[in-house]
Amino acid sequence: MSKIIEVRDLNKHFEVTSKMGLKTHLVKAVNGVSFNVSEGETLGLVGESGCGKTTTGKLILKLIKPTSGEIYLEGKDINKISSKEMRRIRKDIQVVFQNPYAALDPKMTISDILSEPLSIHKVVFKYDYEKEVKRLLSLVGLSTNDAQKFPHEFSGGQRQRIGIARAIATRPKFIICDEPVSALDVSVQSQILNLLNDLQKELKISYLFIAHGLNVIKHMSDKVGVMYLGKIVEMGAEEDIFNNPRHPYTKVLLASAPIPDPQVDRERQVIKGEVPSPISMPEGCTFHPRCEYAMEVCKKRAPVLLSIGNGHQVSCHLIEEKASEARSGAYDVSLV
Amino acid sequence: MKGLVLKLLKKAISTILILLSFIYITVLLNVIPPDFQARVTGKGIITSYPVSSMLSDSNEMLRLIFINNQEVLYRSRPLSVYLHNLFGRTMLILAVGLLLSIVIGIIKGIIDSKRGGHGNKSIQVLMTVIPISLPDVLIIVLFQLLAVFLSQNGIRIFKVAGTGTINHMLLPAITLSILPAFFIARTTTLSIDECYKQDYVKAALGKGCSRRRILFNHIIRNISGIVFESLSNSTAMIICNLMLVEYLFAYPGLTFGLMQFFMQMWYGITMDVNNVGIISIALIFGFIYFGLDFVFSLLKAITHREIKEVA
Amino acid sequence: MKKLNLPLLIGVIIVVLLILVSVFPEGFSDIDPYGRQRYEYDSSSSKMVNPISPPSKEYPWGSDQNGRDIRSLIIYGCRATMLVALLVALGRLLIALPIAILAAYGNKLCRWLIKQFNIIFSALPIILMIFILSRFRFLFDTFATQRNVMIFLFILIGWSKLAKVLAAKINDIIQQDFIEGEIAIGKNGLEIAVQNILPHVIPTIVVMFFMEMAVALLVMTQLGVFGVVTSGAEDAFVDTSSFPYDFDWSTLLAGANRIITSRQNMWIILYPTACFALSIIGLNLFGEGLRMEFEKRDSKVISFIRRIPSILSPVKYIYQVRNYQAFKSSVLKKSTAILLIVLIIFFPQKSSAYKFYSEPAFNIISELSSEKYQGRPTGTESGKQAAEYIAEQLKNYEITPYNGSFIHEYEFEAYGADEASELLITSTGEAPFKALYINDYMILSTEPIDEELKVFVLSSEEIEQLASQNSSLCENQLVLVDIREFGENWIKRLSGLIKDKLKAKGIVFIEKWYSGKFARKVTIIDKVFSDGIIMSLSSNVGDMVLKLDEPSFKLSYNPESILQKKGYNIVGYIEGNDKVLKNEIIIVGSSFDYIGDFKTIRYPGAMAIGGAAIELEIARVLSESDYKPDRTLVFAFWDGSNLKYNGSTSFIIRNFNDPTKKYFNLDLNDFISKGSTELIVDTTNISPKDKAAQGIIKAIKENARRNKIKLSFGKVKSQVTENMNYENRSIILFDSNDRNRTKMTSKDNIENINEKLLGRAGQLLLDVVVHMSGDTKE
Repeated sequence: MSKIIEVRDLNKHFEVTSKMGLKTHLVKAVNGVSFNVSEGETLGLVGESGCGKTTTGKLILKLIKPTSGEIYLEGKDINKISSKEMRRIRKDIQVVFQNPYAALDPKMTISDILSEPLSIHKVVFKYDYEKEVKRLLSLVGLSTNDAQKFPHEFSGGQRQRIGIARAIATRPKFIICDEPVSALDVSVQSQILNLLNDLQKELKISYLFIAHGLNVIKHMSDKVGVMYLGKIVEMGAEEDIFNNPRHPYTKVLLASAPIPDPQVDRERQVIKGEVPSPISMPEGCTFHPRCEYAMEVCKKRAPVLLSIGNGHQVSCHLIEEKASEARSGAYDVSLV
Repeated sequence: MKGLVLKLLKKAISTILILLSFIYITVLLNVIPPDFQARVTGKGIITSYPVSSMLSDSNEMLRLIFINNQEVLYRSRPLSVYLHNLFGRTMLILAVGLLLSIVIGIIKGIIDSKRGGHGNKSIQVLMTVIPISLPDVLIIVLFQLLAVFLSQNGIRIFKVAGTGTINHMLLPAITLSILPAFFIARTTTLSIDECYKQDYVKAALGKGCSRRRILFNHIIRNISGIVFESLSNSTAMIICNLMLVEYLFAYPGLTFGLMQFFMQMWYGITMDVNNVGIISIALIFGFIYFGLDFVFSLLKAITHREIKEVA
Repeated sequence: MKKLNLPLLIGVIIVVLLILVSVFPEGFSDIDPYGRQRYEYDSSSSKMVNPISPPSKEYPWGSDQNGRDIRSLIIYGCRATMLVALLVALGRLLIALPIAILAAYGNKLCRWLIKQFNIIFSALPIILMIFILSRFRFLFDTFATQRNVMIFLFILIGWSKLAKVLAAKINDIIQQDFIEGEIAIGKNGLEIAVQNILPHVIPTIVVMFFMEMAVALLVMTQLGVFGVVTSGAEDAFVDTSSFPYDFDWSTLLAGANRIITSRQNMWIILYPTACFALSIIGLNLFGEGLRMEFEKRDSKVISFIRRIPSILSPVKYIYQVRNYQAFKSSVLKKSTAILLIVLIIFFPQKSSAYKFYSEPAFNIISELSSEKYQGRPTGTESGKQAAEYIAEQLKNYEITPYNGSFIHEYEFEAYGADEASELLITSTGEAPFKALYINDYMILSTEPIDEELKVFVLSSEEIEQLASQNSSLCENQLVLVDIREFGENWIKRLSGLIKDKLKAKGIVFIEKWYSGKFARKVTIIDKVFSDGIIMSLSSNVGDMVLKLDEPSFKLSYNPESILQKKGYNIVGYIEGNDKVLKNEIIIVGSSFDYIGDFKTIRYPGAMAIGGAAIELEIARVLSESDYKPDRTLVFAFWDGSNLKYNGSTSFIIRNFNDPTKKYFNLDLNDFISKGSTELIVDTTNISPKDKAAQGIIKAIKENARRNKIKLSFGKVKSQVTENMNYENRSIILFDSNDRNRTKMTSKDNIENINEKLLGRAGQLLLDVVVHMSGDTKE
């Protein structure tokens, strides 16, 4: 299967100047991120607020420019092509935004909103826009009478459907879903997620699915990447991550997700402290102040992503140790 | 620290430069004779008046105004004395007018605002927009008609075309205060309504505070900044208004002097005193403008508490 | 209940009213705004009555110091006022919008521009700025009229405030989230600006447009009070006595300070100010109402605006016509609209009862401007021949001669015979040159001269230098200066130096005689040199003298020589048929003479005879069609119009002065050169109370529209208006404008005549004459 998107060592640093104009800090929003997404696949990026997943999405969309690193779309480095060619490529890479209340131009009718991408990328013949708009609306489960209404006349869930309709209008190969259900009611969330899944099967689209809720990620993803403070700390197939988490942070995330069954016994993983400010990041491994298993080496040296088989990668000194032990011996690599 | 000092220094220097160029350009503009023409021909640029004499005239003006201004006589007394008197009278009605306008403006603003209740938006727009649309001239005319009416019925509190008593000052000052008052009222109304929309006011209402208490504790604190801001935006309008009021009521202030000199110039009497008079008054107006602007900005900075947002 | 948008409603009503009054002022007022009250007849004598009257039945809103009806002035001035406001708002918007967009997108230059302009132009109040700037005449040369100068200054001073507001608003929009969405679907910057940002900005733009109009009107009131008005006048400052003819409301405020201070006649200021206030309020409310409307979330306006290009696209129209079945209603609506537009534009007009032919008129001009008549100067043989020719024509048309004869002689005295002066120019190395009086030089002093004087040809720098050295070089001699490039102040300075410091006996100056500034410069020099010799050389001779080496003038001048001359008026008429109305006499007059009485100036004067030619043609058409008017129609051709003793005044005073009869004078001046674009009508001699005359003015306007002639109202110089009593007469004067400045020059020949426009003007005047005299045939 061909790779639709490939990201290599992506970095995005912001400069922040303090009030008197005297000090500048560096915020490493995205700090050395690499991954790829294949045709028809969904990669889920999960992490707490501020970990850099939305920024990653914007970088891939070229809404912001990376400080360093490469982003390949079907083999082309999007930061090296002309803006004209980028606009053409945008046909194949679309986005569904997080906030259904802000993503659509409030002064445009639904028909206008959906016709725009059709006209820019000349998807269908000029005078057939009306027909195509109706088709798109029915695809996402909206009535065709809604074409002349304004966004504010719809509920949040319906607006998100419109956003999705706009995204699929250009018949893209890849859609970035940036927390598409976070602002919706729980009952509506599942509808939208199912819609996305159906569309993926029907239209053969790949997704980069960004979210901070684990259950959502589990429902949607084939592959999962866990991000913390701008880095991917663990990456692997969905079953591997959820059934066999290796990074301490991943374990904490999973453990803190509520399970509605009171009978189930769970280990209580208490996480210490709070997410530090991205301005003043800790030395060494960025998670070590909150990690139960922190060792001396964690304070001094940052770990790297190592593969532990089957596409499962982890960035933790514990794994390094175990991996070197495993290489030298035949220990079962599992944590206490 | 150094950076801060440097920045302040830069700002001060640029302000001074602006002031100086303002002065020089004003003088130069006044010195250019009205039938000045400049044409580009094969032999270069031909002007209908030698540029060198214009520059030397303007330097002469500057000298007369700033250095030797005792030399210039108006009715056999130094011009500066005359200007001093004019200035005093102008500032008098300006000060009284502004004070009145603040008071009237705030009161009208409070009355006009919804004060937390519900009003018809259309009517409210009407009440605020119409008053500020009235041209100054109309207000002056109306007040003059009022004065006529009053004096015909024996109430002689308004006198015109002279100076010396409070009565002379009263009508111009009151007329002067009206338009700025309307402007202040409008911004006050808008900001009061904005205040009421804030959550903390709704919380206070929910707790059961009376309207008046809310008014004094929350609202008034926020609007003093607004009042001075709207004043500083309308400084130019205030000065225009001032000129009109002085001129039309024949109040012997700066405008009166300006027009006098100007009319002499227009009829061809080119004495130095006329030129110097015009330029000096123009400069004085400029300084009044800058001064007012500065004062308003200062007051705004003092009374307006910035709500610092946490990023 | 739907909430009524009251501001919008009131605003719309007022704006619509303003538009109606601007476009159709005649519908709102019967009285011509220029007409003013002059004399009133009071038993035996006529006296000038103080025309100021407070609001009364005749003058609904009162009259001003010159007897003009204020209501009519306001109604007719509405168009110009609104036009200024419109142009200012538009100009500011056109400049501010692109700069604001660029500034919001981050362009540093634009941001700096906005900031600097705001600082500079808020320092001095607008009034002071315009005060000062409007004194520069060279702005007039660029912009032609006072109004354009003012509009330019308004725009220059005010655009930056607008730009600041727009930039802030655009910045707000750019920050919003959906913009990212638009980038993501692949739009480039321009597309986003036009398709997404602009629709959000349009409400602000529209609102600000109307508010800028209101602001412009406000500033006009302030300036008007100080006398700095936006009118078509030449001077920046206007007095009520020197009323400009292209006026607007701010002109009406010109005398405000005197009126308000004296507390008298307040209505003169009250009504214009109230109308200003009403317009400003209306525009502001309209703007606010629109803002309220646009802020409503359901507003389909933006969507509609977006669809306009598609609705108007002819390609789509054709596509829809081809697929008629699918787009029935759309095609029907569009086709009806197109049909209506075509009908309105090409609506047929009523035609005139009598047709004016331009060819005969052209031929008359050709004949009378030919060499044979030598310019037809009064008091010469060729002038007499021209008179005889005209009389011959009238005879052929079978017009009735007045008092038995067409030609009426009169005598007058003429000054300045060409024997009055002689000048011999001598110099070293060149032969002496005898200059011709009036042709090559003019003398403007009043004392007799007979001496030989040395001439010092000096430049401006040399004069200054000699003056500072207190040199006595030129004492009691003549100084020659070339003042063609100098401005008035400079001339004043130099003349003063020549007289006081150089102590010269006289000044000889070189200036273009027919330039507009000549008279002004002469006045200045005259004031300084009131008891010296003032001479002017023509450009040609002047250039020659400049090259001479140590020239001197042998000059003699005798201002006293007087001659007796004869002038000839031609008068004929068609008797009126109505018993009562035949005592109302319509006098169509024109002059047939030209610059003359000097042997050396002989210009063809084609335009000058244009009026007479039209008049003759009108006489011919009416007579040959057997026209039977109600009122008596007199055709008069005046002589001596260019002299102090003119034929028209003496004839009219002697013959057309019967107090029991009523007289209408239509006087035709110069028609029509290739540089003419409009007809100038002078109606200032009509009293507002004269309903019949007001009706005539209306007829003139209607006929001008029908004949597609542009009218403008102004002051026309005519001898007919001098020394006249106005109790029983109305005078309307016609002239044509002269862009190429060919009047009074040798270029005014037959080639210069615009035959087509001549025909249309003639048709207009023919229709007016027919309307006035009333046709009993119908």
